[in-house]
Amino acid sequence: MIQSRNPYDESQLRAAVRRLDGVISRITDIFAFAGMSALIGAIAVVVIDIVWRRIGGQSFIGAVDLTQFCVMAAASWAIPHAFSTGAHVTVDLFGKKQFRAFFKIIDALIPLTGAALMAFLFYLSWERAMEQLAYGDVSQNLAIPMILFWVFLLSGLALSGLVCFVKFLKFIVTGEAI
Amino acid sequence: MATEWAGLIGFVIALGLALLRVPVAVAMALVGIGGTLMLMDWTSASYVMASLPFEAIFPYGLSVVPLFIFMGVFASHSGLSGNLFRGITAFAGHRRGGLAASSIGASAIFGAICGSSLATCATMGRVALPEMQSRGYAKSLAGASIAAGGTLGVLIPPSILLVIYALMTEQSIGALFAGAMIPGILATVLYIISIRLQVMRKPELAPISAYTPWSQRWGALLCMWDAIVLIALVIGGIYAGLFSPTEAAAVGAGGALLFAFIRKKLTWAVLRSGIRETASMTGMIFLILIGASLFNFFIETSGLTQTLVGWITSQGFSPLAVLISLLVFYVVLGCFMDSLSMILLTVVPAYSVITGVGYDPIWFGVLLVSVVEIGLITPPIGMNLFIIQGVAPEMTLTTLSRGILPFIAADFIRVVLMIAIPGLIMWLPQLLGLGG
Repeated sequence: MIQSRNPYDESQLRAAVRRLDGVISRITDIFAFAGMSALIGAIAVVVIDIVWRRIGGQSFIGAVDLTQFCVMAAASWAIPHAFSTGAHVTVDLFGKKQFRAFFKIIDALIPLTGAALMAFLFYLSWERAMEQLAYGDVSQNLAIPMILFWVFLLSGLALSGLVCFVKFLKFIVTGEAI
Repeated sequence: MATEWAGLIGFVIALGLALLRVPVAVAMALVGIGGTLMLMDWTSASYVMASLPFEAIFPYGLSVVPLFIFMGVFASHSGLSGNLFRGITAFAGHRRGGLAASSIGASAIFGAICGSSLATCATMGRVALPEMQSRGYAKSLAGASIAAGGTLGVLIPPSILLVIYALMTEQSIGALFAGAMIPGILATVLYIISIRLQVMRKPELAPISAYTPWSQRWGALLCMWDAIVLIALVIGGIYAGLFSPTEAAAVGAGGALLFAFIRKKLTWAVLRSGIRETASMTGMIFLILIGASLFNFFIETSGLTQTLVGWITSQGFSPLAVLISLLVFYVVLGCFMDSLSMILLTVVPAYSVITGVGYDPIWFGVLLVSVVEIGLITPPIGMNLFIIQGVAPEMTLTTLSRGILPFIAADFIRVVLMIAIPGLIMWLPQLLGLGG
């Protein structure tokens, strides 16, 4: 979360980077909320399917497709949020006061590496997504175009890359880690 | 260079990067991509790697992960844990060490709603720690009992770690959940015995509290109704054949949301905070799954696993020696690494080795989760100890480390029992016809 500071006390570059970080954080929040709403949608679909099966004696066709669709959105859009909030599994073997200079470099490299990794995965996934679009692949029961599933993943990867890059910029310009 | 060596070096590099504070998901993905590009040509490597992130998220079976996270988060927010603790305290709180034992009992029941150890520890810490401190319990006993109780969240089904083990090794989630039930109960009993022994030796650790009249006991017990209903729905639903694990997770998630609403805890602020928490945990786990899929593809391509299995078989080591070596490796690794990362980083070769020497995969899955959860309470990187410190900053790691030792001893006794008596794990899955 961006802290409210007096912009007049800081250089314009610092203020601009902090503003950018704030905007990206808000965007990841919106995506995370949309993803979690999709997850609530998945809960509703599964519960309706169970009730329908009990009452009508038959399965609600397409429940699996819809659940996968919703969970794909939830998972893909939660990833940028994890990057934004720094919700990563890390191993803190060394205390924060040990090897300060070394870990400062590592702290700068982590978001940069994350951005490069996400950009690389986006590039690879984009090619496969275009292939699926060209073949016109669809889901098993409801014939949902598979490209829509890929859109969730691609947007999640792109946003994650952006988040990492802005975190790197913020670290370089302001010295503030995630 | 033989490809197996590349696999081994890749494994060491991934571990090294993780120890340098690089997020485990990023470390695994980097090594996975780098290693695969080294072993395969660009066209084949890029073709395979392009599908891996998608395939790491897409399978229907994985839906269970965010749904169980959602259920655990909203169960924490709806005040279920507080009612559980008060309900059990009403019956056992007046005995010496009763509050600590109650926190273990409440953690065990809450673990049957929430599949995460950290969430169980944090939730019970907020509820039980102030109560124990106000009644004069020693900090070491109060903090350590909650940290140890938190590990039950990952062992008692539903457990996110067991789900991930099941998905990665293509085992039945239902069988693993059934297999973990008795070890979970055994862990609870051993922790309570450990508390009892501690207070018998040093009564000053836990003063006796006031007796609760029977009228109040029944009232407190009745307040636990929603937790019991939720457990019956999720666990009962799976084993009565009413739901698949994914459906049970969805029903549980919906139920937790509904109970929060009924209890008038579902304010806008709680909803927002719950959604954020779920999103963070979901994003973190799926990112690790993407990293693990890339890393494990590289390890499999390198042939490290097959070579390792072949070497162990050719050396004529006894299966027990192989198992014990592997468990010691996990206990040591657990002192420095988080349990989820440990499982994702090592489960593919470990699973092949263990099934290669003839052990049952369900039995090993439950044993593995039991052993890695010990890492949650072993210093210096015991995540549950850090959580207790977060709740009560005045508790030092030294105090907590001293208090946790009897619980670690209880864990080791449990692991020995599970190895010596495989039926502790396999009896229930076999009874339910789920394999073994």
